[in-house]
Amino acid sequence: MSGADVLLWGVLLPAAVAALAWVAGRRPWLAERARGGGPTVRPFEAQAVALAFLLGYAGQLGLPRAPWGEVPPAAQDWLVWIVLAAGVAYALRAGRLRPLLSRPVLAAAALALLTRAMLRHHWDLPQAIGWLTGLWLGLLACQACADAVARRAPAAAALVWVLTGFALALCAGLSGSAKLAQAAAPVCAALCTLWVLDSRSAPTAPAAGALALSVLALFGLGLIAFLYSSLPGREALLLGSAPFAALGASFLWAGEGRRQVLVPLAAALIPLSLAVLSALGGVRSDPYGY
Amino acid sequence: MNHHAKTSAVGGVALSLLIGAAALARGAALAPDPADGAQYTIDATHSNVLFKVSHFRSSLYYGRFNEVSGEFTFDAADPAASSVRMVVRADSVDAKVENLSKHLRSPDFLDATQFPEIVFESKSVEAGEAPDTLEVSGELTLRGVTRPLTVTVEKVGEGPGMRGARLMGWHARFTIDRGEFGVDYGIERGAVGREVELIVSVEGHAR
Repeated sequence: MSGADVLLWGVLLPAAVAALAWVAGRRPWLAERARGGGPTVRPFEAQAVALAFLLGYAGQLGLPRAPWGEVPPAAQDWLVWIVLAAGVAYALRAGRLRPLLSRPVLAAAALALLTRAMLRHHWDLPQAIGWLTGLWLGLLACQACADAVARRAPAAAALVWVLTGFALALCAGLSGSAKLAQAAAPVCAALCTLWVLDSRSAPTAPAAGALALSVLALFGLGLIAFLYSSLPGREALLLGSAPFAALGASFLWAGEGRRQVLVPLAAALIPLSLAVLSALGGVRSDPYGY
Repeated sequence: MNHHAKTSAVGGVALSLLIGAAALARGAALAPDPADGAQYTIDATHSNVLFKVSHFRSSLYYGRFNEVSGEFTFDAADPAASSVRMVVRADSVDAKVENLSKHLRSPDFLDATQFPEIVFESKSVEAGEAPDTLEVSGELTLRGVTRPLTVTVEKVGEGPGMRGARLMGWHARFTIDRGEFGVDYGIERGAVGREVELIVSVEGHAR
């Protein structure tokens, strides 16, 4: 796949799909809100991220293996289905299914599927319990962090995760998997699109569902790069700490306008830069250069 | 008393000889004969799986897998009774340069952590056209995908090894389309060839 194809399928088309989903979902949502009903949340933004991820993944890496197919899906295939299912789940969360589709339940289900190969081939029971508990708490903490940044610095919320996704793509690519790097691009493109569209109508953060879904997708890709590729633990931790650095900075230097955006972003950039520098350091002269 | 002890000693020696002879006879009966479908365990040390693939359509790159295991049965009198099951550890891929080996282990290629074993299992065996060859048909499972594969294998030789065990060696060269197994990275740009030639040399120790 050429650079132009990656730009088209990984960035431009996912951004276009996210924008279309945003436009298509927002109009009926606004109409329902005007009539005094409808949910206060904006579920269509979560669906915009899910559709963009599906399109970007399928366009670049081929359709993910289906869970009901002859060939068992790998974790990266599962991640696409999980994100798509979560996109639907966020639309249903206002209904009776809410307890079943809560974040802790979705996170547990997602992690169980993403770590299937480790559970089957590599981890014993104590290891599985330890890893799954830690990952579950980590994912929920990242989602809570995204919510908190969205409250403290709404205009920066999406960009923190766009930067994190971009750094994840660089680190995953440099540490051994170009495919995982490519898979992160559509999530960043969709979040960026939502940020632009939401900022145009009101200076607000993307809907919590869209942020939570993006966090799930990026956390999943980071986890796959760490468990199944060669992303070093040090870099994974630095990438994961970036949103928390942004949150901490938004508490320490709360401000208005441009400062509200720049301070959290600058704080997030510190661990992200360290992660990318570490990844660059891991690549010695490369005789196969592709 | 002495006479009784002497008689007992003679009896003991005779009994030992009898048991020893019986054991030897039993051992000889169990000694693997290539004609009777002897079973062999693949010797990981003296077996090799090499691969050859084109790089940017300009050169041929060789690599290998370092961990091979399995077993085979060979029956010269009835080749159809022969069989083989061979397992290669995907994470033992060795491309000489660690960065490249890591890439080959990653989800871009073998996805070795998620699909740790590459397995070939025969379904049928028949005598080949050339002497000392067999046509082995079976299934190759790579990256979770199973596809039929028929390979011509050539008997290299047989005989006693260092510690007296009977050895038998087989050799095969064949080509697979890695795209059929979902290992498609770099095919489109021609960076890494679609067709991968595998060179398999197996030494078995009779059980």
